Amino acid sequence: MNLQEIKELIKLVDQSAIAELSLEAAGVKVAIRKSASGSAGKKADITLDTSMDGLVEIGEFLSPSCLSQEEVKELCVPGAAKPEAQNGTNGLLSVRSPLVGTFYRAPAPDAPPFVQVGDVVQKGQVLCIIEAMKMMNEIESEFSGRIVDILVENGQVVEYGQELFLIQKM
Amino acid sequence: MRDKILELLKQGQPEYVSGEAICQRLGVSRTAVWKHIQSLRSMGYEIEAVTNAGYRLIGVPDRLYPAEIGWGLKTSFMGRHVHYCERLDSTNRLARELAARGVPEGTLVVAEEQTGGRGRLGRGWFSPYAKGIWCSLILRPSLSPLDAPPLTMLAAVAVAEALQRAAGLKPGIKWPNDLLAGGRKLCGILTELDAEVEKVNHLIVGIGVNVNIAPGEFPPDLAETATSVLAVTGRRASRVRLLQEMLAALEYWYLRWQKEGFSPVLSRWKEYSVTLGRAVLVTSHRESYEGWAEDVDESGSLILRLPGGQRQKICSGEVSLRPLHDQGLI
Repeated sequence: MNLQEIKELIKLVDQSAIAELSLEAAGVKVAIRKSASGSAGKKADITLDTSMDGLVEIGEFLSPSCLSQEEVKELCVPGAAKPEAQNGTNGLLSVRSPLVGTFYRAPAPDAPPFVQVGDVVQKGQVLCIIEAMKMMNEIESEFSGRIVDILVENGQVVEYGQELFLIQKM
Repeated sequence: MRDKILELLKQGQPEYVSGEAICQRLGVSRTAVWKHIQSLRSMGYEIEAVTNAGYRLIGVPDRLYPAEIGWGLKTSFMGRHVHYCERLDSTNRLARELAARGVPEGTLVVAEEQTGGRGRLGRGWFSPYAKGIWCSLILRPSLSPLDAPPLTMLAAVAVAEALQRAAGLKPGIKWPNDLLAGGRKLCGILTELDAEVEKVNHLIVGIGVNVNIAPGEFPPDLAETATSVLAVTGRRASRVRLLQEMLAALEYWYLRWQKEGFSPVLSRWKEYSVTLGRAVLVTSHRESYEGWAEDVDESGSLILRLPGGQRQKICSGEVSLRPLHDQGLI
């Protein structure tokens, strides 16, 4: 099932009287549910399930017809919905901590920070280090973009899943 | 071929092994055998050659050659692939490169000397030629990164056991993974994690053990804080034997950790702990805590009881052990 087909499917459900549709094909399971409250089904829950990654919750969106091709693509690529790279409120992507530990912006106390607000970073570029029990974890950017905000202070203890950076994807 | 000849000589010890026997066993010419013997001699092996008797190995150099590490190694995967360098900037740096190329789990990088040995947060690590064990291991546990940090404490337990077996020295472990003797640092461990959100790609466990460094050989800034096996016991230890024991203990605890979780490792860690049940000062980048080191929890975090009675969980930071005569203050 390709993205175009999923998009077609969403449109079909949206324009029909069907409230809920589940479909399984070639290892991909798609469930589309229109919100009962929404007048004429202006809201829909879309869930994409692949056998490999388990359930990937896509969330609640306005009428699918207002999603651009690009947004549909993002929703449907399983990797794009990882906890560290979720859609923020303003279309920004956030980088989250994969473990509990101390956040360091630089490789050494007297060294310049890995990145600053405004910097353009490439996919795979090191953004920071999280340390737990002398285990150092270099956090790399999952995508190319511009650093819009750094949400934690150097030396601060961060929790699992805590947002560290906001990045405007480019 | 050179290592195979060495193996035959080792098996033959203390007797002579005839050149003829080597030729037949390995299917090579006498000239080839002679060339390899010369090559072994240039590596530091002392080999006696006697007409009509053959070759006899009488001396092994104090080097961490892969053939020496492998001879008598009791592991199935830990240290079974060895990248040996006489000089290297940093074993962790090379290990990272090798890990990215997909070398097998348990691959060992070892150097006689590190010219840019690294500690935590960009600090240096004194790694003089042939006087310590400067090595890194590549591991690929199937774990969530959240569960990976206790590996650093596991590594400390393994090195502590190895020091007891190979050098008769029982070190103390300072949370989370510094090995101390007489309050001075004997071994440092720096672990680097490469992970995605759900899974660990690989871990690099960098271990530096000060073995045969004489007390006066430490640079001035380390003179008061570092020590070595030689300085503590007064005897030189076999680095090969110590490394083999380290690899065996690491494999044992690593497999148990994967099967049974962190709890058995933690019990063993507590037997070596010099942190628990003491007043400590924990300094991190932003704040410092003074308190009583009460326990270590199942995630490996240090539980500190503060003077006010409340408990503080510490997941990273530098622990200083307060002198024993200050213990009554808190």
